[in-house]
Amino acid sequence: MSLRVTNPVDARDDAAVWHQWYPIGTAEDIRRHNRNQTRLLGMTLELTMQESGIVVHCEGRALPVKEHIGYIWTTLGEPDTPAPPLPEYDETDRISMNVWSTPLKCSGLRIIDNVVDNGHFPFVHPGILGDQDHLELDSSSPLVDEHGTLWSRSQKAWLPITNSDAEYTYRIPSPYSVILYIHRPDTPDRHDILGVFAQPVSEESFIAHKLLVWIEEDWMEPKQLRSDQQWISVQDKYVLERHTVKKLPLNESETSASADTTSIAYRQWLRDNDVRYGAIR
Amino acid sequence: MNPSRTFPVAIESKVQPFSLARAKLDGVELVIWKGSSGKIHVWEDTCPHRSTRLSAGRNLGDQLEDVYHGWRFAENGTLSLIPAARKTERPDISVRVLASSVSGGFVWATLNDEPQPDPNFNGLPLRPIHCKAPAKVVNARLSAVTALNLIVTPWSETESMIFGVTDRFDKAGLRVADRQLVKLLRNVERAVQ
Amino acid sequence: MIKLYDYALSGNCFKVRLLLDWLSLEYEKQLVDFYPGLEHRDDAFLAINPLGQLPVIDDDGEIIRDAQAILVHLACKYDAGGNWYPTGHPDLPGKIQQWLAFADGLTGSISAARLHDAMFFELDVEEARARGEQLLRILEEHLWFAEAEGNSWLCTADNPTIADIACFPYVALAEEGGIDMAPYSTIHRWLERFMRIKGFHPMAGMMPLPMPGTDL
Repeated sequence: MSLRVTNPVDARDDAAVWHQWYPIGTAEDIRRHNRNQTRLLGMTLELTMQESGIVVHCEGRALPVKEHIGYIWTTLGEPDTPAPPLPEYDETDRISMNVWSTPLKCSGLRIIDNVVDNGHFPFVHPGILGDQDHLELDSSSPLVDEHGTLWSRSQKAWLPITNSDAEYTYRIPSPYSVILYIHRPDTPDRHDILGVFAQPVSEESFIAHKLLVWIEEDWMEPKQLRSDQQWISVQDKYVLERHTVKKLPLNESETSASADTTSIAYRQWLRDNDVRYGAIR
Repeated sequence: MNPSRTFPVAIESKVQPFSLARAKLDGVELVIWKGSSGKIHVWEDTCPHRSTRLSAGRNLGDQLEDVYHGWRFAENGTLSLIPAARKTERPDISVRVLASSVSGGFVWATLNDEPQPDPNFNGLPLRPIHCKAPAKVVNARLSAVTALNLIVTPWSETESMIFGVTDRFDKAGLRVADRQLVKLLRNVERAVQ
Repeated sequence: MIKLYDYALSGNCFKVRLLLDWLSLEYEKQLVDFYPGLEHRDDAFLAINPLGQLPVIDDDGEIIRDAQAILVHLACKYDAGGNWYPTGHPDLPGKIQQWLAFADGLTGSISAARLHDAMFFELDVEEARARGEQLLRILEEHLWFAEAEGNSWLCTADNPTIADIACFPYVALAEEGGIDMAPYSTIHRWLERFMRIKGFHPMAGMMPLPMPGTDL
């Protein structure tokens, strides 16, 4: 019988996770929904709206706060890296949209593992991100750790609406975040960008903050873009909330296939960084 | 006493082709399905690939397909297809198959090696009723019920599924028995909360 | 052309989209940013539906709110086959109405739990889940004895009605609200039958692939 009960990890004992900036939502959402509290890494954060901005406290201590790419970011530790830079967010010919923030009932590491995996497209997003006539995945180019960020470049997957392969590059700046660059044949040096930033609430639950930063085209309707991206997220939720093991196993308990190169590399990278919170070792 | 720990997990006639049923047994989540062979399978409801619930996928007849990446498992439980890879069959990768059998109109399963269904448990099946109380508590309360032949399947430490058979009730009688059983079980739930 | 005020992730809107497709009706969507925009609470939308709820349709100038009412309207006005809301059978509308009201209860319980869990809506989620489970138990019992009578659907033997459409989505999405659906095997068989109806397309949060066994 597989072991379902695993020892809880105190996030303070996981340096790679503790000393990071995490988004807690957009200022607009926090105000609009009158949010005065949130949870991060098992801790309760009190939010107060002041003239100067949003102030975050944890157990009476004021936490560092910054506003970046539309989100309010905070940290419980002392990060030596900033919140992930994304200069494209401010480019004037783009639609930059903080799509939504939504809680999910599994480890936030699971969503990063999900974003970097193309093998699920024909099954979880049929007709949208993949289809049953194009199931095989090419073996991918190697993954590289550059200055602490994991890069997986030029992963291809068939995109039904274009009747051709789409190409994706994944940038993982920290265990609980991923930025996806969608290659555009017309502009090889500029990409459409999706960001998924997990705010770990506990080891087995998190809040997904999703943003898109797309080069604006005439046909784009912001309301439709937001709706489409929420739809895709909820399609992923169907599987994410049906893992019988909520934490991400970094041991051999899940059997990978050769096609799972980015997922395998991400899990190895987490092991190399001694990540424990939200994982099973 | 039930040393074989063999319990009903489904009513045989309700396990239908191209369908997936769920149950639990002693804390293990189960997927139950009928294959094209006609045989009914009881597996642990977990895909070896990414631990997703197999019951969230599809019964294709001769194979069970996991929803996440479309991994397919043959009726014997071994992996028969990885859609994303050129290599297909991997007989070394399989699901966890539970020992099960069909008897008296029920699907029985055990976490042990051999299913040993109760040979006296047959007749017209009652509606299985779920109860948010441990089997021990439910059994104690049901010991006073003599008109029905009941078995309490321990789903987990906090819940049970009560199966029953009768050879004496007509349609109207079945509904009355059902209501009485529900009333009794809801009282048990209130008592444990 | 029918205009539908729509939010893609709303189960109530999904009911209307389903019937519109099954009746082969053309319609245009007016997207309402329910979350995070809370657009359904804006003055502009309240002018259309003072209850601030989705869906709403504008059928040639006639505004109809409430998912169940819209199902009745569409079935009566456009269903030539008369199967979705069989007014020709005097014993059925009352039975169907029971389940349309039941669907409202599902919205108030299961959907509320879902909104709490997925969109930070503040409410007593434990109470919502408990009420949802109470309704699911009633549904499980009803469907069991319906099956015993040879009936595949909530009110009828062979053809689904708007009663089934009305109750389907939030039952199918109940796990999003933190409700364990494992205890309800009869409900699950009914959900599978519903997903096998010709032309059924799931919404996000439901099993995404075509249900096998459609010719059963």
